[in-house]
Amino acid sequence: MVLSADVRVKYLSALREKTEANQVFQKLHYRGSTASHKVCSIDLDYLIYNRHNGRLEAEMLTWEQERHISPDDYDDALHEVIDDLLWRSATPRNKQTLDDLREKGQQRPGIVSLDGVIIDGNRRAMLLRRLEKATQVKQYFDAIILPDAYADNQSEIVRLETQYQMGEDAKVDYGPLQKYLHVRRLNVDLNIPLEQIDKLMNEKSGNAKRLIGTMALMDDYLEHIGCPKLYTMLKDADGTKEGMFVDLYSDLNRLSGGSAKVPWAFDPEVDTIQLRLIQFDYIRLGEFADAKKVYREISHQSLGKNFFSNKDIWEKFRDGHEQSVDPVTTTMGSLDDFVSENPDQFETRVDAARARDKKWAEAVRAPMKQTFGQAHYKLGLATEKLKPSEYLKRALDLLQEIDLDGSTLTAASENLELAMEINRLSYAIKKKFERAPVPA
Amino acid sequence: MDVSLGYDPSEEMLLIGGAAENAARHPLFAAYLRQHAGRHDPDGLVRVPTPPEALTARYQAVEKILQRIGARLQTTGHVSDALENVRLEEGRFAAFSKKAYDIWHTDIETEEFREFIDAVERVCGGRRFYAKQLLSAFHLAFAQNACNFSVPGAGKTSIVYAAYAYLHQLPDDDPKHVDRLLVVGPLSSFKAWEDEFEAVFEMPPRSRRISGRMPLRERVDHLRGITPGSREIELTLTSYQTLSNSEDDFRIFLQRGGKRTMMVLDEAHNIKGADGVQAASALRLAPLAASRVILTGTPAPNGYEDLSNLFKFIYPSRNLVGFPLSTLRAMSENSLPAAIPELKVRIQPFFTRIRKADLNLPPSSERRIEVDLENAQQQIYSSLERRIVPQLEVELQEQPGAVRVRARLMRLRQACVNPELLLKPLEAEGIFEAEDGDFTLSELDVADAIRSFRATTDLARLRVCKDLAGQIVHTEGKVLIWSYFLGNLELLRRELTGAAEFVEVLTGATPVAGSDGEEDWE
Repeated sequence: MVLSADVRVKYLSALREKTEANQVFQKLHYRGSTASHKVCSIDLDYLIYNRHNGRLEAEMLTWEQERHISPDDYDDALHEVIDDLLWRSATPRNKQTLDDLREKGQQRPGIVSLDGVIIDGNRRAMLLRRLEKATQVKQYFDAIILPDAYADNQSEIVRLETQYQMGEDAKVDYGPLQKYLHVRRLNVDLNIPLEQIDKLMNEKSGNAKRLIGTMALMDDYLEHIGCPKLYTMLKDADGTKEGMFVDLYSDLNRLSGGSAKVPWAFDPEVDTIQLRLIQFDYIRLGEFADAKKVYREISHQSLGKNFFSNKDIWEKFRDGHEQSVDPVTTTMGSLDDFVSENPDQFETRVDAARARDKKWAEAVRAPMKQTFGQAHYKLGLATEKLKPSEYLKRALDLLQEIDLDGSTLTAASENLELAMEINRLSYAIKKKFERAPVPA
Repeated sequence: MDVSLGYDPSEEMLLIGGAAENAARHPLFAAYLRQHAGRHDPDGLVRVPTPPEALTARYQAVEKILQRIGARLQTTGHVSDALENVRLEEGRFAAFSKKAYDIWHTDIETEEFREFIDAVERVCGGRRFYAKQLLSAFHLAFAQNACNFSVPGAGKTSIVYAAYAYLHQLPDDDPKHVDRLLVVGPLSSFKAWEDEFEAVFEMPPRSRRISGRMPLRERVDHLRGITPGSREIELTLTSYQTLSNSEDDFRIFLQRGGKRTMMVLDEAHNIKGADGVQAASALRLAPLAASRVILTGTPAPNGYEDLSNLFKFIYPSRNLVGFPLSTLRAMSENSLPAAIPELKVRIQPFFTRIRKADLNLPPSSERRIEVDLENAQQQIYSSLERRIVPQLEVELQEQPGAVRVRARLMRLRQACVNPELLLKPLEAEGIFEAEDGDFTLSELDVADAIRSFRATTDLARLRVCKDLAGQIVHTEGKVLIWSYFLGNLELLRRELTGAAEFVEVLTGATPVAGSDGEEDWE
C-alpha cells in the first residue's frame, strides 16, 4: 500500500540522519555543487515511482488524460500501473537485470527525494519489488536521499533528473518521444529557460528550442486527429512518427523564417497551416514514412524538388487533398462519439482512437495515394529536364500501355477530351517539322 | 454555411458567429483557431484574442480560410467600427490595386483625371507639368501611398507637390485630405525641396529643417508643437539620421493635433538595408502617416531584396512584395527566375517610373578630342610602359600579384594623364592601399624627367581643357569636368580659378554638413 507523503518523509528523514558503521558515500552534483552523500538502504514500502520517468512519460500522460486524473494524485492503482509499465517497457532486459539483482544484489545506488519519489533507479526498484514478492525476502533499495521533497523543490530535482536521464550520464535509451515531453516539462511547467535546458541535456544551443517546437507540432497533431494529449497515439509500429514531425518542423521553420527559397508568393499563414494539416494527414496515414521517406516530396526535399515549391503542383495537390480527405476528417466525429457508437468494444480510449484512425485511413488511403502519385509524377516532369526525344519516347510508351480493346477507355468521357488534347499537341509537333528548314 | 464576424474592442476579441461551430469542424479553420487560441463559448460564439493592430491580418486570414472551406462571410449584423473599417479597406484595396495599375499602365482619360489636372493647374501655377508627370502625380494622389522610381531629372519633387496640392485642397473632412508634408532625405536635398515648393506654388514655403544642426531642445519643441508657429509649418524637412535619433518626437509630430501628414522618403534607397536602424525607424513611423511616398531612381541597386522595405513603408500592414528576403536574394542571384514575373505583377500597381526615354531630352552629342603627348610626357610614358608592360604577366603569378599589377597600371595611367601625379604616393589619391606593390621614383630611369615636368606648361591636354572651358564660360554655359585623380582636380581648380565666376571641386571627401552623426557625401 502506498504510504502517505508525511509518513514517507518522516521515515526517510530519520534514515538520512542515521549513520551506519561502514557507511557508503557517493558523490552527487546537486543544487549547483558536488558533495558526498550517504547511501541508505530504504524499505521499498516507503518509496513511490516517478511518474515523469523518461521510459513511461508518454504512457503516463495518456493514462492521466484517459482517466481525467490530476497530475498530483498518487495512489495504489497508479503505483501498480507504473510498476506494470516499467516492466513492460523493456521486458527482456528487465528479466536479465532481475537475474543480476538476484545473484549480485543492487550494484549501483539510486537517488530518491525526501518524500520517497525515486529520481534515479525506478526500474531497479520495480525489480527489487518483484524479487521481494517472488522470494518473500525483504528487499531494500540503496539510494542517496536528497534533502528536499519532490514537490518542494521540483525544479532542482528535475534538473538532477535531466542530467541522469538525458545528460552525459544517460544510462538507458529512452523512447524517442521522451526528450520532447521532458523539455516541455522543464520549459513550460517549470519555467527553466531553453538555454539552460541545452546545458542540462549536454546539447548544442538551439536543441531545446527545436524539441519544444516539434513537441508543439505533435500536440497540434493530436488535436487535429481529435486525440488531444493521448501521447501514445504518436507511436506506431516502427517506433514513433518522430521523423516526419522533425522534418515538418524544419520545413515550417524555414518557411516562416523566410529562409526557404520558394518561387511563389505563398501566404505565410494560411498556406503554411494547409501544408501542416496535409502533412499531419500523411503522418496519420503512416504509409509514406518507409525507408525511402517519400513523404519528403511534399515540402522537405531541397532545391525546389518538392510539391510546395512548385505552385501549380502544390495547388492541385492541396485542392485534391481538400476535396477527398478533408470531408472524411470533418465528418469523422469525435473520439467520444466513436466510443459511444461502439460501446464496450475497446479496453482503453487509445484502443478506440486507434480503431477510429484505421477507419479514417480506410476511407482516405486510395485518394491520398492517388493525389500524391499525381503530384509526384508532375514534380518529376517539372524538375527533370529531358531532351524532346526522351519525352516523346516516354509519352509513346505510356500511350501504348492503354488497352484499346477494353471497355474502360470509352467508359469515361474525360478520356476523349484527353485524347483530343494529345491529338492537338501531336499535330502541332508534326507541323513544326513541316515548317522547319530542311537540314543541309 | 454563413459565418458572421464581429469585433469587441474592449475585450480585444474577434467574434465569429453564425455557423461558426460548423466551420470550426473543418480541419483548416480548426487549426487556425488553435493557432490563435480561439475558444468556443457557451453563447455559440467563437472568440479569438485579437489586439487592434492584428485585426487586419486576422480578417484577411479568416476571409481566405472561409472562402477555402466554402463558407460565406456574412457582412450584415453588428460589427464594430474597427472591423467595418478593415472590411471596407479590404474591399477597397482589391479594386484600388486594379485601378492604380490601370492609371499608370493604360491610357486613361476619365473625368476624375481631368478634375485632377484642373485642380493641379489651379494650385500649382508656377509649373507646367508634362503628361507623364501628371499621370504619375494622379497615381500618387489616387493611391496616397506609392513609390516613384523615375530616373533623375524626371521631376519627382514636382510630382509629389502636384499630388500633395490636390490632396491638400480636398475638404478637411475628406478622408484623403492631407495638411502638411514631412520629407526625409539627404541634407543636400533640403534646398531643392524648398526651392521647388516656391517654384510650384509661387510662394515661399512655411518650412522647417530639422537636422542635427538644430539644438536638441529646439528640435523637440518644434516636433511636439511647443514652438510658436510650429503648427503652421507646412513643409518639414529632416534627414534619415535625425528621424532615427528623434523617432519618439517624430511619432508625436505625426500623431498630434489631428494634422494629417504626407510622409516622403526621398532617396529612399537609404532604407533598403533590411535591418538598418534608420530603415527600422522609418518603418515604425510609417503607419502614422496619412500618405506615404517613396522616391528613388535606383530602387534596387543590389537586387530584388532592396524592394522589400520600400513597399513595406508604403503599406505597412500588407505584404505587397510577397516574398521573404532570402527568396528575393535568390532571385537577384538568378537562382529563382521563375519567381520574378510574379514579383513584378505584385508590385506593378504601386509604383510609377518615368524613364529617360520619356523625358524627351535633346539627343546628346559626344565629341572626342585626341590630344597627343608632347615630348617630355612621351618620354616618361614610354619609359614606364617599357618597364611595366612586359612584366605584367609574370607579376600576376606572384603574391600579391593583383595589387602590384593594379598599382603599376595606375602609374601608367597617371603618366598618360599627368606625370606630376607620379610624384605622390598612390595612397594620396585615396584609391587603394598599394602596400609594397608600388615603385619608388628613384627606381625609374626617367626620375629626373618626372621631377622637372610641369603640367602647367608641359601638359597638352590641360591646355586643350582650359581652352574648351573658357569657350563655354564665355557663352555663359556651364562646365562639368570629371577626373579620376584628386591631384588633377586640384590642378584644374588652380588653373581655372579666375577663368570663371564660380569654380568648385566636389569629391567623395566633401562633407556637406556634420553634427549629430550626420554626414552627407556628395
